[in-house]
Amino acid sequence: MQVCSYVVRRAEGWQFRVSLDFVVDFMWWTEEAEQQDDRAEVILLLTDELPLGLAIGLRDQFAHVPEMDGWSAKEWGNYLKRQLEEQLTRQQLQHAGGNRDGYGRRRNDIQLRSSALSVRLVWCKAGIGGEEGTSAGVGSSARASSREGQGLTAGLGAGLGLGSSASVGENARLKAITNTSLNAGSGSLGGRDKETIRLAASRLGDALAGRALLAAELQQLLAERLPEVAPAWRSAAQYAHLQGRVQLTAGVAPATARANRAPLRGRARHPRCRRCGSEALRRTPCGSCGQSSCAYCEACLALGRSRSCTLLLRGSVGAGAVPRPLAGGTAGAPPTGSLLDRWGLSPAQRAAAGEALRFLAQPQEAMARGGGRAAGLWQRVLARCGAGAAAAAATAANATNATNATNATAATHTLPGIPRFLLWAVTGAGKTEMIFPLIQYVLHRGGKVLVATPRRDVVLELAPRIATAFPDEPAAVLYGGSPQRWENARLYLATTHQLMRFYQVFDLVIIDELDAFPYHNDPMLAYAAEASCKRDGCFVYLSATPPLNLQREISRGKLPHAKVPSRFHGHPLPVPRRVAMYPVKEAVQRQRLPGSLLHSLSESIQRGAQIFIFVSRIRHIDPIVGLLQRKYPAIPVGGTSSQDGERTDKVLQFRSGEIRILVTTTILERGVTVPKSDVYILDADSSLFDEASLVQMAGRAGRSKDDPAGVVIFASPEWTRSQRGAVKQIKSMNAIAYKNGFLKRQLFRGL
Amino acid sequence: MGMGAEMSRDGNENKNSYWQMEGQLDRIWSNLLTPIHRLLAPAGSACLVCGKTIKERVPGYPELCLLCFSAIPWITRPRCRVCGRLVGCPDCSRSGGVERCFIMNRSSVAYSASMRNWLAQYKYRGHEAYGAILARMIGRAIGRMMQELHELHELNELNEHKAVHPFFDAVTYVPLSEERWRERGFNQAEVLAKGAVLAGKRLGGRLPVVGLLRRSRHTDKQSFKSRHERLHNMQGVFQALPEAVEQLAQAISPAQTYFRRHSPSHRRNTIRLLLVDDVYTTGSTLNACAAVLQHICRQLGMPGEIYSLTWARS
Repeated sequence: MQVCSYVVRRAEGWQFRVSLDFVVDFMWWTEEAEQQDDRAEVILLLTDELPLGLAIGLRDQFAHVPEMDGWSAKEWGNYLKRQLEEQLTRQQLQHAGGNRDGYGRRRNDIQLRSSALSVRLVWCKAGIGGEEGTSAGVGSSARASSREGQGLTAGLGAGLGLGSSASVGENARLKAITNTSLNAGSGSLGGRDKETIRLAASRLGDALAGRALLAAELQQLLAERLPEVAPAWRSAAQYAHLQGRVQLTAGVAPATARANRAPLRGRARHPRCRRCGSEALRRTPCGSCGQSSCAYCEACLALGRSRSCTLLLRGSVGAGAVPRPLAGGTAGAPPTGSLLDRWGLSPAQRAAAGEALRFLAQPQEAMARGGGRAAGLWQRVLARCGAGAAAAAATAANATNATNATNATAATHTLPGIPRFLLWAVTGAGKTEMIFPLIQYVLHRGGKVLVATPRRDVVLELAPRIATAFPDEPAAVLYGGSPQRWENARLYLATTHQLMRFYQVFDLVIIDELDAFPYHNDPMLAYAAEASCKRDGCFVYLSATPPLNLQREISRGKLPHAKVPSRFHGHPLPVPRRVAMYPVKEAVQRQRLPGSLLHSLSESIQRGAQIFIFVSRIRHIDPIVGLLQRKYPAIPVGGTSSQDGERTDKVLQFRSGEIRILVTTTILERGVTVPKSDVYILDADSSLFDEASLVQMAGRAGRSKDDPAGVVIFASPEWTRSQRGAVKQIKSMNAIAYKNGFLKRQLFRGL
Repeated sequence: MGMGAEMSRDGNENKNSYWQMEGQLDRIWSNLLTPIHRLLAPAGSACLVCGKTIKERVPGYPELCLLCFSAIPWITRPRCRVCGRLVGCPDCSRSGGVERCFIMNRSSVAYSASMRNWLAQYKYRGHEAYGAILARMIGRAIGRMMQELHELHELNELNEHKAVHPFFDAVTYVPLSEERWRERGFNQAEVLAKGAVLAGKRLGGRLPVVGLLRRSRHTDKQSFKSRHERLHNMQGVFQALPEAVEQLAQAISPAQTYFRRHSPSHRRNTIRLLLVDDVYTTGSTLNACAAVLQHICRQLGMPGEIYSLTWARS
């Protein structure tokens, strides 16, 4: 996209501005601002069309210098030329350090440089040379070309015949709307036009409030929700921008323009995506801005391409409905009691939810941070992502999906910024019910809540439960391809990827299954989560197996948290038992399973349990299914994995008992509840099973009230640290539950 | 670490101190080992398609893992000699209907579901890293096509320069509408054409790429239309660029072919053009373009022979 750029002299100094529709800017500075006594003194149109990325770069680097008052149009032209030169040189440096697959690389630069020469004085305040305080220089240069300025002004007033043809076209279309659909009252042509733009801008501002959208996404939103604004969106967005309701920026922008570089950082810093925070390593020639190397972000392509010439609009939350701050309120009294009663929580759930509520209600000192906040965030993200240096960054860019764990070697959840609270609830504790009082509390105070979870199926499963819990509060359910994606609500339920479409809007962000793929170890999603939360909002994390860095923070006392050590039915977690066994590979080769394993399997079958068998490799599933089928011909055995198209069906069959033994991988470690089940983990010493996934898999057993004591077997040749850790974690949770009296008396044999 | 001691009965405090200790040890270890590990680990890159770390490299395709590469449905022996389809093709044997303005089409791959996905990633999502791969893939097809044509024309063509003669006089591509071009930022057919030329050069000979066409309006998605509609929907969509004739004349002029007195096109009195696009479905787009190209050639006083090359054939 190309935009127009201009400089404007206001009382406080010169400003560089970027415009989607210069006619709107002109109107603003010459008419609107007058009423607010903030009229522009001089406006110089620098370029009609400049690649958006460059224009934003120039804007962000611009600083007022007193000498500028004396500059003539020619000097402004030279300034622009210098700045453009500098930007392009920097880009070329980055390009040299980056990939090398561009086709035809130097198409643009000559064009760009010649466009820099078209600086024109567009407007200057009457009598500026004499009475006003600006220096003589601008006075003379302004006077010299004031006739030109007047001419242009007149032209604008009459036929709006100025500026880039595109935006004028938009404006003309806007006028068309005025006459037909909106039909605003009488008055001069200009006056009516202004009204329409103002109205369109206010609607657009409302729709954009708290969102971060690329121009293409905004157009989709408008087409769906505000079709009358859509044709003139550039004018409306520009007006909202001038009002301060919408920030205009580039999708990909240079990493911290004036970076305080560490000496060994290397000269070429890649630009970053402002939506997802990832490095944008790839540059290609671009037809929409005409640059020969326009960077784009590969990490968040799934939500539409963010590149250095795409417009990213961030709407600020309107001043209309400011929710009361979460803290304070009812005379400092902890808001427990009445809030908790409604939900029928178990004692353990109740205690933890109460603590979370107290956390929400307490004044958050962490929020008293100044304006350096944004820069701080940026730098932290940089530091975090840059930790792995070039190698890690390169893989980060390539790994679009499955294995981008490599790019996040550094911890992602150690952000000191927004206050966080961890609800560490064991598997089967009933996490969802515990968040209801929190949601209710924030909604009651007029705040906005987001419940995010990494997986789409969990979102779909959660939606009806939330709907039943909050019948008066329609929730917007967001995921890839959701029909509700542009709806506004106070309660959102979304996959973590959808967080990228929000900007500083939520008072409470609840992240469920914090340690699950793809949220875990993805700096992009962590960045998105942080950006979506209000600066004075807070996070509540839910997990049965929090990542190690959070566990460390807990042990150091840095992370407020509450543990829910027992399941809702008040029975202890089944403690895994060890069975020594040769590796599965060998079992497959020898075509037999060891007696010890078969012995307990037979027991499980006899007691009528559904049996999960977890293996570490997909290729082991079929042979194991075959072995078991031969051993137990009367029992239906099934196998499924991520590559199985009939997975959902098989899980349903397993739930209903049509399949008695299900051989699977970690794909089913979470979210599956089967009433009477036993769990066998083969090759439990595999490096693919870490402590968290062992605990999760073990958590599939004994979840129902009717069969609370399932069997969990770790079968492996070796007893590894992960296995020990998992057993320890389960035992310690049981111990805490016992100590706090959450367990039913006769049932703590697992200790 | 003695595990027994930590597994004591009164869990909480003991456990905390254990975690603390273990946490610190962990940290020390990882602080020590991570940099060493990183130093020693090979710079493994992830497969562009499946995201898994590439273990076995594929020569010529460093972005792909072996599994994804071996899943490419190459067309090595097209069944239909006209449109290059892998399976039998009723369209080409059918008589009547719209006249075919190109001589033959060849494609790199069959348009399978996975290939469709690759193209969608490239074209619609804008994942331009795919562009380089697709360009290399089409390079494979142009080599095969040129070989086939040489064999076919051996008797008609003078053999002396066979090794360096690229068969075609110029390469052109299907254009995008101005609106799409602004929106997408690249023309996939142009990228493919350049990829084909790169491979053609390697096989010998000069092969200029020229943009000759313009797309005046953007047509709706072809896939919702019947065959008849598709064939007629294309009429009048493509025009010659104003400078097309001049450009083509320059591209085939004898002055450019430095080691021969006359350009092959003048000698044989036809212009052989290669038209490149991403996917061949019914051939209606290519046919419409070929018709315009024929017209341009006639303006130069020579009949045009239009050949078509696409990345995929559905």
